Amino acid sequence: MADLKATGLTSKGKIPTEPFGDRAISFEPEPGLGEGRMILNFGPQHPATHGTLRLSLELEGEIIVSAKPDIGFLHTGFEKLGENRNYNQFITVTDRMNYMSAMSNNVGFALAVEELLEIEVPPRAQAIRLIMAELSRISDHILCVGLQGMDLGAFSVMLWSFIQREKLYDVFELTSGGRLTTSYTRVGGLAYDLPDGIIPRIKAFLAKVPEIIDEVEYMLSHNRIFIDRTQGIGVLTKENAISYGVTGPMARAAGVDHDLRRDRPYMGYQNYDFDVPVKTEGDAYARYEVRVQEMRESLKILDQALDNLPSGPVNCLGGKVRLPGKDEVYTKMESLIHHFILSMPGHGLETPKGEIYHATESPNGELGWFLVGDGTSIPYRARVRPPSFYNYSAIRTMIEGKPLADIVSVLGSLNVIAGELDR
Amino acid sequence: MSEEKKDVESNDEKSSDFDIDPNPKQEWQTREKVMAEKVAERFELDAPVVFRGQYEFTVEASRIVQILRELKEDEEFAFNRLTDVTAVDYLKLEGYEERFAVLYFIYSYEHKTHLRLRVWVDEDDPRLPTVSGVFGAANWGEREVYDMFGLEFIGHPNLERILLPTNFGSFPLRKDYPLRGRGERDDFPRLRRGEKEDL
Repeated sequence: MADLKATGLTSKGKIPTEPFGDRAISFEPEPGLGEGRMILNFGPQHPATHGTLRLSLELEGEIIVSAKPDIGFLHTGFEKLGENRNYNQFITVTDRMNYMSAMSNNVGFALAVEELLEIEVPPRAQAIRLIMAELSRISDHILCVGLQGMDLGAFSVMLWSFIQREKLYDVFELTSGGRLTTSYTRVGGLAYDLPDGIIPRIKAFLAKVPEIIDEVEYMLSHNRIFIDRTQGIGVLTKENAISYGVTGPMARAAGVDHDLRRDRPYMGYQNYDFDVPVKTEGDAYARYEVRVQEMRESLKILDQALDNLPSGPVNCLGGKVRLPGKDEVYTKMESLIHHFILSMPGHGLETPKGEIYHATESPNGELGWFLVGDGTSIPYRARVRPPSFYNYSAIRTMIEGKPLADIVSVLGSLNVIAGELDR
Repeated sequence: MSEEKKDVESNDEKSSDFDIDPNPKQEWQTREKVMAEKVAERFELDAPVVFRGQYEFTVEASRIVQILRELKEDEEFAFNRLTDVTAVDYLKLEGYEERFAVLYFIYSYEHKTHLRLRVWVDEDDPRLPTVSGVFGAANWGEREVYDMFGLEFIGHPNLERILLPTNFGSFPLRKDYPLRGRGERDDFPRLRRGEKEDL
């Protein structure tokens, strides 16, 4: 009985003979495995996997003959949850997908629902969302660059970038109340307007960022060890990048000149002046360079956005989309009615019967939402197209035929977020 | 932003250097409309479903591989990226011909246009051909659809579960699968209300 308890099964339950299916580690020699070959499990608990990724590698000496990625350890059923939560409740779930840049996910989802409802938020809300999305891009890239350095032995870069990320999280905390899981946007606006005195604080932070980027570059860009372990390592060709649906900095490092912010502008990106860095090498070093340059471009966008921040409301007013403010609910009959309609079960948002796909450029690539509206306030289907999923699917082309030590360098440059990969 | 638009903007009250282009969608929506007309004419497809300026064609399962291959390889269309593959279970919605639909989102880097193709899949025979020979991205995308909906892609090189454990008994994104409770873990004992687990 004690044994059964230890396995977490009850006497009623059938004990599966193969508790992990194919995932059970087999100690039998693999049939057909040649002389001098071995199977190595890389992950799921390995410091370089940044989350729970597992690669089942077949090695000949230290050369990877074949790699079998095994994902899903962090599967949480977010899409199923999306079919049972209303649109505003689902925003909190989007935080948990790419937890390195939760703001970006919040913004992307809110924009997709607004596309379905065919509404547009006021200019101030758009500008604040854009500022938050770009800040989260800096937060994501600065950490990724730091971790890429750490994986290859440059530990101090990671610590420096973490210090900056903490300061950026202070900004997020002041705006949204949360550091990691922000849940800042709402359908039809924002949870709150910016607090007083936040703009000078963001500017003070941004004034320091170029310094930090310079320092990181000083530590890494001409570092012989870093260059040896990234240049020519993990090469993703342009053909493979396109075929595997790779997007974001990874695709741009491989020569795909595409950025949704420039090519299909949303949220007012067409009004800002910025460049899209593109490299053609496709290796880990190119990905690092693209990320560093994108941070500089984000700084440009942020400077323009902060200087031209419009005033006015941050929520769609008068409609039956966004909850009215508390002062109005307490004083106006109509607002009270709207409040009840929006918050009571069985009522809420009225979505049209239709299906839309809306994509935004998240720090990792194209974050797409496919929403099926059925007339109620709960999506009939909420599909997320996670950038990490398709970015990671190309990993075999980057590591097969290469030495084992390359994997650490490649994984560091991919910035695969397991929460988003497995959802 | 085109030069004309900039001029128009500068004539009215804009004094600062911050130009505002209110509707960038118009440009690509006209482009996608032209593209959709060309696609419909070439492959003799039925009129697309248009919602919010997005075009969606319904295609028979037997033709999907050939159509996607031609859309990818013909330079006139150049839909070279498969953005996503997903499915929808229409069990609880009225007015749809079949239970499952598989959706292919394709994108052309050259023309910067999106297009969506839909294939209906029969409930009793949930099978359709794979497009993983055309797009590398379809390999994992179709595996996820199989994992979540149980639709079989004929000819797929490695059709097994991707996110869930291989011994997971059901397909959780089907609409008859409950959010919680029965069916959640198929190798655990099934309890009723008020029943206590006998440890």
